[in-house]
Amino acid sequence: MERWVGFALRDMRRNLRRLLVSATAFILGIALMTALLIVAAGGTGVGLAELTGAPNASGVELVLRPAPYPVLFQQIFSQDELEKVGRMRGVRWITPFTELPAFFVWNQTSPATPIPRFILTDSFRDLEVVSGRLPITANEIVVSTSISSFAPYLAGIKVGDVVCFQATNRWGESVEGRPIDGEEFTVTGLFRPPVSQVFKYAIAFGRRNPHIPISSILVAFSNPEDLVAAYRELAARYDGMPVFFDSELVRHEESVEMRRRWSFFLVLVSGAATAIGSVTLVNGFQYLSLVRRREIGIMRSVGATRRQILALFLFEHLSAVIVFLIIGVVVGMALGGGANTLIFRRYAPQFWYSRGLYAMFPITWGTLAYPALIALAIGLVASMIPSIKASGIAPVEVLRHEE
Amino acid sequence: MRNRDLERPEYSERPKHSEYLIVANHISKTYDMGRQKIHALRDVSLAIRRGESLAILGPSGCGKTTLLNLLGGLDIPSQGEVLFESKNLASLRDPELSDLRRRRIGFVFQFYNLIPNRTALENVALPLFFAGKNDKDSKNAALQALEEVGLSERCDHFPAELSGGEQQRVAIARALVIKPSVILADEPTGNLDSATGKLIIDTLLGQKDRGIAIVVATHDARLAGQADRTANMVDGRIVRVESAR
Repeated sequence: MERWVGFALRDMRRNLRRLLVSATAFILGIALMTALLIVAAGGTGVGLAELTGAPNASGVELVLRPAPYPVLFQQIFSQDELEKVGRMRGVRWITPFTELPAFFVWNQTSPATPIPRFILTDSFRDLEVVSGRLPITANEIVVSTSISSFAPYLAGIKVGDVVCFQATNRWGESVEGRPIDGEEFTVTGLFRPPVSQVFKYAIAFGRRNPHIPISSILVAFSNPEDLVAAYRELAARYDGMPVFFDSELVRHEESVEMRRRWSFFLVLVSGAATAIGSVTLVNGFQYLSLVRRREIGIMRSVGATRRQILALFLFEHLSAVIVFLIIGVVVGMALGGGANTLIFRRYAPQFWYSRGLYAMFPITWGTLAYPALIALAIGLVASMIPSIKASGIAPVEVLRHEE
Repeated sequence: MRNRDLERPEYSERPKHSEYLIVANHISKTYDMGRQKIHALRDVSLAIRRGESLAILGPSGCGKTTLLNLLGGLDIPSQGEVLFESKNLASLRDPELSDLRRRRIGFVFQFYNLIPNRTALENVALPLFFAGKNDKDSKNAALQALEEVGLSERCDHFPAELSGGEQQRVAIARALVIKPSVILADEPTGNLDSATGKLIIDTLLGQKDRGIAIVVATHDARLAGQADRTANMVDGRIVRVESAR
């Protein structure tokens, strides 16, 4: 194997030079494919946001703003502290956010207690059933259960349990508008995903009980896509009521639309470039075999078998494809990263937090594996026919005359 | 010896293995060019002993190259058979035929046929690469072969950096490196001046002493004069075979 690698790589530079023109479209196709995957994978970064929906007489105003509390809650709670305090007070404490990737609480107050009702969640997926009843006093809440990853922690919580939050962190900082530190709440109901049911239920409840106004619904996210999904759900669930969108949401929608357009454009162009690239690559390999006919004849005359010629050419061609693939992926990363940067700077809402390079270059194994597999598959097919033809060259045909 | 001598029993019957290295029995080669058929060889019989030198003489287009190609298994006859150590070359599969060329038959062409982007050493080592020898052994053997033709000092030169005579000597070294049983040389001096041609002739015929059979297709009367036998070809037929006096 080592001998073959050495033999094939010996001609690499010459082959690459000869293939350069025919490989350009192929490289472009791989680059655009990579860029497409990078643009489609994100480009707006990851952040934490709060979506507020406040139905009133004129409609529903959806407001989006940075949400600090999930971050703070991560600092506030620690399992040890909660267990310790819980034992002392004889109440059950909500499991800490550090352990809970998803969390959902809805607190309903009476008109007499103008404390904002709140829903906190870090994940919106799969909430289906509402059991028990909605809270009607300031010290009642409903909590979600069976959100898979934290179900074990909440499995023990049942209707009638008393739970409490600790709304100050270990440095004594409090979060304004959040549950009061140490305040006790009685669990009146349990929810299961998806959250749309919660909203539906809440809205229906609000309409049946107009004397209990819903002043706000707050939702916290760490995943932008969940935020967008929630926004769409909210807009859909307030049926018949005008919805006033926050400008940040509009900007986000624009960024999504822009990404969609770029992705569509990239799908078309990368598809066309890859198709053209495949054809030109076949031609390039064909040309390479053609100009090396004499060389093949010489190798055959000194004892190379057809199979050896086939293996040699396949190896050489695939080595070239790997070089083109690397060039294509690097160029594609630059293109995709550049597009992401443009989209991010122009459209990303203010609450979006960039997670460093990942926001611009959301590179995953998939980002690399798809172009690699496609390039190698095309390369193999493109190489096969010229290589088989090359191996079938009769030495006597090509050695007869001087070229 | 006239051509009819070839029809004596020793030629018309299969010769004994030990006596002859290559035997061509009534071989013909016809190229089908659409409606036209070109008869390059017509009913040629020839036997080559181990260690003998044979010069094939004749005008251009008389079939010398075709005959060499058939004797070396680069091509197969339309009719008749070529036996290499009693094996019919037409019956061999590609790996067996390639193996034979790789180990037993050395070719020297008029236009050298060296790979231009490989050094003299790499060109000489080429058959050994395909034979599966490791790099070190191949390099040593190739160096030794180049030394035999007096070109070891130019082993790192590319063909374009060598004169015609030097390129031909590299080609001879490539044929010698496998320690062949026979060297088939097609017009080896055809592109060279007379002094260089003489050097090539001496180099080639010098291999006879090692028991290597040399078959040379040539116009060169000097070369033919030094061979053990000469076969004269006209229009695809051997018309006369003469032994050296």
